[in-house]
Amino acid sequence: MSAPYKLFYASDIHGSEKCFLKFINAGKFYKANALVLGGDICGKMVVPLIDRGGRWEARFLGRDFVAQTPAECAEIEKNIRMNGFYPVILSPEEHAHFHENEAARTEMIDRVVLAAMKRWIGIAEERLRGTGIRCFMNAGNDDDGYIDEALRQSDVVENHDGGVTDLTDEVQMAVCGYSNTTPFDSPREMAEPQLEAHIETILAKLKSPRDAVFTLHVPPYNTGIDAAPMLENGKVVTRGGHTVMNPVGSTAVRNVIERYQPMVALHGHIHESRGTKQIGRTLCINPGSEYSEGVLRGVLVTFKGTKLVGHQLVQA
Amino acid sequence: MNVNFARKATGLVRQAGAKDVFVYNVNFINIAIGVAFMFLFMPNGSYPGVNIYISTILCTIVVLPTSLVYAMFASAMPRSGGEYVYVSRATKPLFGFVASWNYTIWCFFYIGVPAAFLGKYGISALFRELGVSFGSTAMTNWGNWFSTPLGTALTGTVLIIIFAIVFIYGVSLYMRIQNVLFVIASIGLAITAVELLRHTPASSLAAFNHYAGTFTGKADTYKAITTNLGSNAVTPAPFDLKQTLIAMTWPFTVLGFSIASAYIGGEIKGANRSQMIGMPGSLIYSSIWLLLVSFVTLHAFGFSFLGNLGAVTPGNVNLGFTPTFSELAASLTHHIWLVLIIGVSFALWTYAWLPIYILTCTRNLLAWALDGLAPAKIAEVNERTHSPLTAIVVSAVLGIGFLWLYAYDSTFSTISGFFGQVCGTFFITSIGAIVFPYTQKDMFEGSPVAWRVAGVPVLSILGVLSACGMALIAWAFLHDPQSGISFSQPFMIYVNLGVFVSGFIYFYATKLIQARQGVDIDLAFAEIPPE
Repeated sequence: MSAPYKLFYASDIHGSEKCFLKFINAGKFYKANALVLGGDICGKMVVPLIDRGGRWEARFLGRDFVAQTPAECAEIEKNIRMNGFYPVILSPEEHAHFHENEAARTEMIDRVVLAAMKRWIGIAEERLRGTGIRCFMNAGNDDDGYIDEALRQSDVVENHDGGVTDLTDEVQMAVCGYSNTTPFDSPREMAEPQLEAHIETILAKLKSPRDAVFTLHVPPYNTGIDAAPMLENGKVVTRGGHTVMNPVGSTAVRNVIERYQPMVALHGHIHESRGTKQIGRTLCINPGSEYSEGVLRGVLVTFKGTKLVGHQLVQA
Repeated sequence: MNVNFARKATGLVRQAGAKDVFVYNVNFINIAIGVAFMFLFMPNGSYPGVNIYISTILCTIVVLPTSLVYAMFASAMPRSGGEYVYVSRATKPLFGFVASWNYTIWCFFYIGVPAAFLGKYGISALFRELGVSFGSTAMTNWGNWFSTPLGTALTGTVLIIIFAIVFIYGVSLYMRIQNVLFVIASIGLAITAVELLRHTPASSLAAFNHYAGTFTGKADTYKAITTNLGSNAVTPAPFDLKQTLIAMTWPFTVLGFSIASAYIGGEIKGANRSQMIGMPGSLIYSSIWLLLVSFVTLHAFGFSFLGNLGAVTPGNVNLGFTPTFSELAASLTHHIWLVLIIGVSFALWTYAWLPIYILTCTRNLLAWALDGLAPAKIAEVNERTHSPLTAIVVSAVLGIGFLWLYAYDSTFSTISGFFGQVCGTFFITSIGAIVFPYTQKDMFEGSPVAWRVAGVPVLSILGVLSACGMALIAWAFLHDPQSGISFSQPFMIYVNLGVFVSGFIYFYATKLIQARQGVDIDLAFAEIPPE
């Protein structure tokens, strides 16, 4: 009789270093066999610390920050990282240059994000090597392509986006970080037919889809775990003070789940739709995200053999 | 200028803003029912020396810190769930759950109460107004029937079922309906105020006697009222601060609840500005409306008239039930359309709490279920309607149960449930506000409300003021002869205490049950050290 296998899944930490550090520590904390970070790892904003000759100025979270010493500057950098942004020290001239030049700005942002990702991978390697806890991380629709390469270079962090991996002798995990199209034209999106074909290609590599864990970044359509604010001309629709929600999940994801009926399907993408949904025999889970407050939302999934024996949503 | 650089990514959209928060909270505060309560109960001699204006202003000042505490918490933690989220993080999940449990149980009760108001104060008055206008005794009798326990309970049951069906078919449908009804109700209230402003006590008295005479059968109903009261007739007394403070319970029944948007905090991005403007803004706006409508009501009828009307037992003078300020305004006109607008708009105000309490209850039930503190079935969302069917049905059924209890048991036909919300929820949340900047230092410092005065977090200062304010309100409830809760009649104290303590019992019982199934509830909330 096989021992229970416990997996901790989280998603959409969007650059929050606090959430990432909690994620890395979650293995020991929950006594989990594996950690899975299911996409949207990168943050959305680079915050310049403008060097004015021994004095550094930054503005984030609607407030101005001033450092008078290198130690204070380092403290602000840490604060920026903990809140899901990327600090970068720039001279006033460099700041003006990046402000005016889009190409240079994009190149600088990519460089800063990639460096931060490599730094995180280093932390993961340092804390997890030799622990026996496996760590899976894959990109989501908000993560640029250069992230994959950085993830693949690690000997501790495993990136199986677009493929499958063995969790146990009996259970495999299939991974897809792409989403259906969004109003934001994010880096990894596909139209539904292409997405379904892409996922089918991945699932074809599984020995037994019914016994598998599907890690598909976008949740299945019309399941309650895919409800997001309705948009009209880029603005959220409200009525009577309420945000109008509508399903924005993927029909492709729903189709493959209905077709293959895996043991469990893990999702993210829609931060405000924390919850679970049973589709046939498959339990679909979106743990949601509260990265902006440094709260790591996740789910503990336990299976024994090929049988799902429990799950628990957590907020660490 | 220091400009930050954004990546191309999802999620950078505008959502519900200050205006939306403001509308949502004003809707919940319910100005008209507040004025109705104030004139039914404040001048009737129970608070000799009370000043309605000062009581309203003092109540606004007393509850403002609580409103600001919730607004700042909502800014620091822009999540849906209100105190369940705030107190859990500021102190311990146990206290967050108990505060939420306490509020939610009373929310179930207050699904039933406003449903009762529709028949008791809304439709009953509308039918009587129309009965007088059309000279129809049958309609007047129907009005009387709607104010009976059976009429109240049956009308309320139908209303709750209608709202449950509306919510099952989606919050969006409710929003469409509510937006229209809110505009009608607001315009109606303004017209009511104008009608009252056009009259003086002399002309109002004549109009009232003419109106009431058609169903009391008395030529001078007001004289019959004062005669019936005898030495208990209300006469103006010199200003009394203590009585004015005690009478704050009545404006509190509406002004204490400018915090409804805290429970939908997750929908409001840019929460700092929206909540900081929307919550206290709706409180001050509603307070001004209470003062204005109070002014025109007193201008039209005078304190003694309103006091005697509130003091007399309606059956003693064939009144059937005591008219509210709205019905009094309707009695001043012979224009049928004006009577209809005044009557219908007031009826629309009477139950305004109901749908928002259903929403609050269902959201809290969902949050508990996702954390393992309620059966998972409750969190299921219906695919066809996209609504949490089970949670809505549970809320509606409990609301109907409490409605019948309210209608038939006079012990519960009081405002004593608000006492529980003050002590078991708002007070605990105030304590949470005091400690939050110290227990969640990073979260507080990273929030847009990390303000300090002389080095002390503003949130902590407001927490102290809020706790003091809630203590004062609790004192007022316990000394109010009409609140239904006091040390001399302690039954409702026991009920309030029971609701509060049952939260602890439920939490630990659920924890035990889940542990037997291999689930450690504590893990749902335990924070992983990042370092």
